[in-house]
Amino acid sequence: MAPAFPIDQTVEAGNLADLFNSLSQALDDFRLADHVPPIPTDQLGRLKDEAQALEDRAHYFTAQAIGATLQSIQSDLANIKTVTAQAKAQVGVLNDVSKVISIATSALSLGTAIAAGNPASVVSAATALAQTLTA
Amino acid sequence: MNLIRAQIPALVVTCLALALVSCTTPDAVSKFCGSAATTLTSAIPIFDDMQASCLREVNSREEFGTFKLPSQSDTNCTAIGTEADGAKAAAQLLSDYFSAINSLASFGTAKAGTDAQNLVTKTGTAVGASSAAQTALGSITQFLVSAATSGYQQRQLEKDLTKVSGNISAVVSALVTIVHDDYIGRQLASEEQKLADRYREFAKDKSPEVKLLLDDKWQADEQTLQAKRASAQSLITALQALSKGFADLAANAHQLKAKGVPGLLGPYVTQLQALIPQIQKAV
Repeated sequence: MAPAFPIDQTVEAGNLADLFNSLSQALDDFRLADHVPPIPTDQLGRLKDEAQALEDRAHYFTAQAIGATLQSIQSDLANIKTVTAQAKAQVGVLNDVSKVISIATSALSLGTAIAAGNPASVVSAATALAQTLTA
Repeated sequence: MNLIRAQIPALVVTCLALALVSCTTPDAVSKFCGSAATTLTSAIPIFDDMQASCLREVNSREEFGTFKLPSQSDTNCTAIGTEADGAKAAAQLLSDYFSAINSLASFGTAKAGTDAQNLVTKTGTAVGASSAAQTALGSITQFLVSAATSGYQQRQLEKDLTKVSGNISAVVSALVTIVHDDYIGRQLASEEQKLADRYREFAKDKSPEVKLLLDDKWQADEQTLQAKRASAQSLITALQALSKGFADLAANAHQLKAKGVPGLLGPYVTQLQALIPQIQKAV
């Protein structure tokens, strides 16, 4: 049977992280407060160890909370990735159009130079075409 | 009649040129997307600091004066780092998207037109056409190629902007949650609190002079943490502006040539460009 209220894993993990952090800090506040009589040293050591263990749990659930947040957007990321690839391909199409026109322009200049029989112009036009082709 | 015929090419060119002038290139789109991509790249060091903050907290558990080498790894901090890498990857993916849209928006369709004009003019010379005919043909070709590439550019931009409108918002919202709730609200907050505990513990039963020295050191550490918090807050503000700006852009994707678009996006660009140095400050 499905739960009446769906569990938001990000919220639940976050709440647990906050809970363990609060417990850890409560222990540290108690440990560092003035007590009459003072807390024995061995007990102070144990309180510190327990506070650190609780903080470790808080870190664990923080990692879980981040993971749950990222899990919730996986389909969004997949769609964005697809559209990005399409946009890059579209830029490629525009670049191809430009390149085709540039090649045709360079090739035409070479043809004109050859027909005119001017060696210097032929060399210049051939160089320009080669550069366009390798661009 | 001959005079009118001679003037027709010039009239056609003038009409086409006027039509071209009224088209606005998506320059505003390009500027917005460029700023968005830079904002997202600026987020990377903040996500990197999530694991580092966890390790700083772990290392603050040692008492002052033990001179123990700081721990470089901790199981739970490593887990936080792994998830933070996921957030980095998400930010990078968004940045790639905005960079791709930037490239598409800033493609010089005018240059394609000019190249085409040169081609037609040279062809005209080669076949011995009159100079007036060459000029008219060249201008028409320039317009047609510019319009064709510009039309393609506009159509693709409209598609690429509207297809992911909801997705961009969702991902940015997730990144804001991670920075606000997990980095600022949990990591930095607990690091700050545990650092304060370390100073409190050491200051117990110490002379006033030692306490004053400790207080100076504590203030310096506190300022470092405040700076990190401020950078992260700037990132949150920037991400929210990015999300709103993109929503406005996507809503107007069908009319990117409208004169109102630059005015719509301008404030977001200004805001992002002001926030980027603040994000980069402390981390």
